[in-house]
Amino acid sequence: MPENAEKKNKKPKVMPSSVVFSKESIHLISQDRDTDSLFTHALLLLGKSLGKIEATIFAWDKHENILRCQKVLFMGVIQEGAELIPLTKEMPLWQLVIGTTDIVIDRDRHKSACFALRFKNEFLGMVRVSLLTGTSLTQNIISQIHTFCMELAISLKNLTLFLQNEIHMRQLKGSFEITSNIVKSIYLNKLLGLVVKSIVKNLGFDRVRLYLVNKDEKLLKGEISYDMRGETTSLEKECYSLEHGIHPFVDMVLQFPDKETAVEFHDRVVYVPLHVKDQVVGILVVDNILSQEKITSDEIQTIKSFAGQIAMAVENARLFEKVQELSITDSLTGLFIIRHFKARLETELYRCKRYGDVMTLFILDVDNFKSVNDTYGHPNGDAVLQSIAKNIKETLRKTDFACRYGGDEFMICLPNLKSKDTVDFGRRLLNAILITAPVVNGSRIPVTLSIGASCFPENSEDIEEIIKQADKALYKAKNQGKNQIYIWTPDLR
Amino acid sequence: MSKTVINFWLMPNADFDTLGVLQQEISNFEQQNRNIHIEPTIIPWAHAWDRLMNYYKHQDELAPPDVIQIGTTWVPSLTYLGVLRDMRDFFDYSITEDIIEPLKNVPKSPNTDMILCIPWFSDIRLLYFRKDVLKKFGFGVADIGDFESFRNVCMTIQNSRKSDDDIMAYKLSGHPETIFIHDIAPWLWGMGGNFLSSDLRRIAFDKPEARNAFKWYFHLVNDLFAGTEGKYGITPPGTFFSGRYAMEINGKSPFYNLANLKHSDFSPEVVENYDLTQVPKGPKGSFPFVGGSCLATPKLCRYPEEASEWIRYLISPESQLRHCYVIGAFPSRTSLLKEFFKGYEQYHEAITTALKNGITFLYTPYSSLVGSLEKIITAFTDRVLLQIRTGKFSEEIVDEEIAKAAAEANYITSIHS
Repeated sequence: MPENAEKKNKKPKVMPSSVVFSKESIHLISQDRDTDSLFTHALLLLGKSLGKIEATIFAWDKHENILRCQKVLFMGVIQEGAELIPLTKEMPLWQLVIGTTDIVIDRDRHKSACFALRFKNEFLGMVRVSLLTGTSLTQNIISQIHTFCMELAISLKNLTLFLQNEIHMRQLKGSFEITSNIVKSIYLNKLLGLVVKSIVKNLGFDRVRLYLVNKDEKLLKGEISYDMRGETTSLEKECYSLEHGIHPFVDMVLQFPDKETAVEFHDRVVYVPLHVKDQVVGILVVDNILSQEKITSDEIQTIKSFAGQIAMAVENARLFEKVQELSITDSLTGLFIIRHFKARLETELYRCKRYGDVMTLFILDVDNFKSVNDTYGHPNGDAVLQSIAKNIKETLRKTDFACRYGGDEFMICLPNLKSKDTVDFGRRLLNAILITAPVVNGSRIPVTLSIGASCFPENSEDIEEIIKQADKALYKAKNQGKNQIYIWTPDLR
Repeated sequence: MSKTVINFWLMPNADFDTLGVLQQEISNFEQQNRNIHIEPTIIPWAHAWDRLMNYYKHQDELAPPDVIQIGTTWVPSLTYLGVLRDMRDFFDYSITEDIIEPLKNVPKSPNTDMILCIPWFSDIRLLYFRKDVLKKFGFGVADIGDFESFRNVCMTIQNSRKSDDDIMAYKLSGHPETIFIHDIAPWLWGMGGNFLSSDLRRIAFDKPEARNAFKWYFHLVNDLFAGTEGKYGITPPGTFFSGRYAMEINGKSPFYNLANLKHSDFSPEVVENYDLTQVPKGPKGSFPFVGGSCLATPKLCRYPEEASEWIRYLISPESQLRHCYVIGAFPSRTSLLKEFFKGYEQYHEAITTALKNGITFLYTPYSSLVGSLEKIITAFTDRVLLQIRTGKFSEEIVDEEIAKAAAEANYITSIHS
């Protein structure tokens, strides 16, 4: 066994007649910049001055009325302590808490005494000193330990304020960055990404999740999650009906705005509502569940202070999306307007050329639409156009897109639809429209369509030419008896 | 030439002597590597997890760590969080070949084959007991072999106490914020319970076997310490070697105690009369917790090459042996055990048996919550202990606290697995 294993501390064997805590040594503890070092130094100083003792520093948990051991000095060795002392008003130590005394002495044996750590009227904790020498604590020693504890309390309070200040500075710095991110983007998806990332980065939560209320669909929809690993996750699979009992998050949204925030799992998960006036537009869920750090009331206040801004930014982004949508869609049918359609078509054609894909263009026209208006009135004529648009939207694949071309004309771009499948696709669309036309006075309005089609690159590689070809094919379909599809052929030139 | 400063975060492995015993290793290393200076920072176990999380989240440490000591139970969570740096640039898999069996797979991430940490020393739980005290009450080692007989011995010793100065039957670990999971594990496993399901995807500590084990253990603690109004509560300071206790389940090697014979807290009477044996056997067997400490470099390590050199030095056979003797740990290398126990072969045998039956936590893609689980279990047991302390213990309280802890752990698995 190595010799150095036997090294040990030497301790005084006799109790000093008086104790001297030098100003220099007390000054030393005031220089500590973390509580761990402060308590260690303080206990070592006590041990050095008093000899064979057991000394314990407790911090006061005012929420649970418990004194929690921070550090113990036992026979010259510093240890972490586990002791908890739950206090009740009947116990002598309660006098320390309420400030009627600063010292509680073990009356039977005078071997130990408890000293309050108090700053002005605030009870911060306690130091318990026990002599292990068999002798009693003299008045002189008690008085000097008391003075030492008053100094220690000042150092502890200063240090606590210093540490709190550091946290506040960090939160303030983080707040600036979060605020600037909230206004950085007007696009909803980008905005949500920026917000959750900057909250995790600047406030140091394990994870932030964002759910938004969709008022039209009466749903609470999961949007985005970001965690301290730097991973962004879509929460689109989380979608709950806004009814009580469906999901705890929904219940929380329904409880808001009466409830400001909700906290769970010993302050490790916080739910913050996103309000605009009295409307709850969503819920922000922050957690420290994996790191098991408590979320402090300061942090809750900080995140609450952003909730209104986030909610407002979300509403603005939604409004912007709506305005943007309105500027590119036809208000009656909800399909694109021709200008936007043509821009998309150009892009699509470019993509097809680059990757060697095919594409088909349909132009649709309602057969005898003038007589529909004359017979059933213009409101029903509009309903017919809406019904057709609805059918088009439902029939199209995700990559297809359509527009209202004119009064009763529509245009559809069908990427990757081969010419041999064009007729089948067109017929399916014609049938769907026929059987779902609006009903007036108990009978369905007889609506049929004619479709003209042209295929890229088979018929042409030029966008204007393809539109012209589809138009000519439509004319041919009308001439051949309507309610049919005709694909452009060179003889139509 | 200016030196590269490697900041080393470690725990108080040898209590207040930690820095002193490490200093020799630092001096040796710095003599061999004149361009490197090691700057140690000792962080108490109870704060180390929070400090590491704080550093990882805010990165505002004045002296960010380049090498960190981490508990084996933390490895799964830290791996999941991506806190640890892959060390394959400086170490290969041969480094794991000599590691004691239960910890062999701790360093490797099964998904990516990364080497994320290297065991430094191990913590193998054994039951320390006083032969003289047991004999006085008419007991021997055979009487503390299983749960019920152990309980019987505890109660006999405890019931004979007439004053605070009389010996206490059993010492709890006394570090509720970090160590308690190690203490509760043998009782849980011995009764067929577990913390997590066998695939590590779900929690299992709320299942009937686990509930029974918790209740059994807390009944024992309650019977020993209920309504303790004494100034120390249920975890008085001092060690088994101070003479205050007849028994203790401890993960420290006996050499720590033998090495500290002159320490005023160590009673010669205990040194002459102590022995060690396996943790008591439950209906399903005797399963000690095997853990320990690993060395790792965080992802934000500034000088990975120099940091790896320091790790390589600390895990070298010579340094590891020296360090284990003085801090009271067991080596993490199988090849060192024989030399470590030279002259104390009876302990080697006990350790070999414990290693055979020992259990540890390993990383799987689903075990992200293991590190957090340790804190959750500790917090729950802490709350039960508080009820015991104030004389309000009941089985309903245990059920209630298990349910709360289970809800919290399930919440983690629902969002992080």
